[in-house]
Amino acid sequence: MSNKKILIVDDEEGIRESLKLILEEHYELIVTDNGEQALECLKNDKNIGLVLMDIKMPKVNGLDVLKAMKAAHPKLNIIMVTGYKSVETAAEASKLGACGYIVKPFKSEEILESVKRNLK
Amino acid sequence: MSQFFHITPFAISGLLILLVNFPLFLMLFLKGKSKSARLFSYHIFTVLIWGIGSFFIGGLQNETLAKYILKFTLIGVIFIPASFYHAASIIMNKKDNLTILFVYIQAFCFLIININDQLYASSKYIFNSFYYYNSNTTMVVFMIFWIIIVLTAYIRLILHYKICYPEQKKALLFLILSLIGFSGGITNFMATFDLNIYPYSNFLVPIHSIFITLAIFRHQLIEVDLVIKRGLVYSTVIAILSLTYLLMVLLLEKYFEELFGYKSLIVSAITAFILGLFFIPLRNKIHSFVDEYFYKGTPEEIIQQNQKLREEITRSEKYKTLGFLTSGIAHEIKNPLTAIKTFAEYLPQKIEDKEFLLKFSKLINKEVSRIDDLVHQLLDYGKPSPLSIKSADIHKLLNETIDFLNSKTIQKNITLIKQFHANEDQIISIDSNQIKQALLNLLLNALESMKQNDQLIIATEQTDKLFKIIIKDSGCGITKEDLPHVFDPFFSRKDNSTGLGLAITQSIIEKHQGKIRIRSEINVGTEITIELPVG
Repeated sequence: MSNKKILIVDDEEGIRESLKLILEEHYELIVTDNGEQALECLKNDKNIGLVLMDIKMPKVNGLDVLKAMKAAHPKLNIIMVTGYKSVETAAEASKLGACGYIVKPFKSEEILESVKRNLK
Repeated sequence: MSQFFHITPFAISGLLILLVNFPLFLMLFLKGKSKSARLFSYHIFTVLIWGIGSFFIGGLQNETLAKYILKFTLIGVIFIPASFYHAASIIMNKKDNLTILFVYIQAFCFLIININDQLYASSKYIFNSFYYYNSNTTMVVFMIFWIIIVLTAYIRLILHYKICYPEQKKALLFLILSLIGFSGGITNFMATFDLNIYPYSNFLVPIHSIFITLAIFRHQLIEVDLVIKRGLVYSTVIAILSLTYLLMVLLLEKYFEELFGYKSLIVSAITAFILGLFFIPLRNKIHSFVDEYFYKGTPEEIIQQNQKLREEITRSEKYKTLGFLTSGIAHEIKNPLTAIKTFAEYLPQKIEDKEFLLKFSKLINKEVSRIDDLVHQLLDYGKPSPLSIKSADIHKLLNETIDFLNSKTIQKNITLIKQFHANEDQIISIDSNQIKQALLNLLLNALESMKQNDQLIIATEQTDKLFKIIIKDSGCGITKEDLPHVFDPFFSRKDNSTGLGLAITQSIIEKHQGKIRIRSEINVGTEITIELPVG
């Protein structure tokens, strides 16, 4: 098990549980359902090496959280998870500094591989 | 036509620009319904100034007068890029105020330079035909700015139409054709240098005006669409006719000069008059020809063509809504699907894990009912059940709905204030079940937005024709940015909301021929007014 932690940010319980199911055997996870709490977690835990975050969240949009995270932690790797397969959103996420982009419904191998590649 | 004015190809091209742009300008200015149409008419006006100018430049043989015209014409040319860029930005709804400010500033700078006679070096007599601009460094800088601004506006417009309206293939084609016309405008700069290129391409400029207008305002000018088409056909035919007429006058003038050895203004005028007499019936014939062959069966055909255009617009609007709905549905369904898919994938290897199985059955059940709920709501929205209109006591219905939410108001200790000012036992014809659903949606939204101890006002008012229900909460309010979208399907800032509630409510009220309005201020509250027709 890697000593770096993964932060999961999604307002959907189903997605949080799914990501937990795929990753908990291999990595240490921190799970939260909103962007504000996620930023708080990053501030308090220096061991977080990767963030998996939903784009469409009700209060603060995932892209706005991504911007805030990148401003505070420029070297942090962030993978965006989304239901939209849109070129514009992908381009926007990458412009804002996301290192990956996963479209729902995802396969477990897809998540594991992407995490393995990007976890610092 | 004497030594004072020569009919040259350049003057003719100017006349053509004038004949095309003048009706276009009038149409856009007087009949254009939107701000962008009005703004675009200013652009057409700047091109019109160039048309008038190049007609006189091409013909005038008096140097002093030509110099004035050269200076005047440049005013139009200076504002062509700025007006085009500005109109294009408004059409695309792009907020690039800084760039717009910049293009206007550069235009005004060049205007001042022009007023001080510094925009071009001097006038020169070219092709043994007319007085034209002799270029200097400022002219080169001006030309570079001119081309860059217009080209940028074109590229942005083309990309905008390609991305936002991919179904409007005709608009794109028109834009590209218009760009070809614009290239004619660029080549007019060539003659200002010592390049020996006659500005024949000025004939292309009307193409710019016609096609750019057609590309952008085809839909907006729906009622005048046919009038524009007819106007354009007239203008073009009349332009060709006028040119033939001028050419004949010119040829006859030359013939007389050779025959008698001198040029007489009187002979020219008489020739022009006699030819004119022949041309008037011809012109009328052409008018009736255009009417008969291009627009035969006028009233019916116009109605039919308008109907066709309207259908086209409705179809493109439907595509937009469909796109929006599909992306919303995709998001709402993909979330539960992802959960179901992942848990199903891990089921074989975790079949012995009791904790997993418990979580699995709970989660899958929850996600499946979510999809089921969504399908039901979509059916309500997409294929609304027909109204079953009956007379109903509206106050009684309101009280029933409020009572239904009692537990929620008690939970948050909300003060509920009823201000029923309308007739106490007012009966109106409605589908009670659907109106109840609409009211429930609104009241639930209000309650969800409020904190402990807030207050909710439910009021009714009445006029001769309308029954009003006002729901006013002191909740968190809606931001200015979100307010225009609250009735859009799938728009929501709340957890566990499909964003269909208000869209369904609006559709129910509209089916009753009623209206729903919303006012909101952040941290102050939201007021929703429903107006239902009485009787």
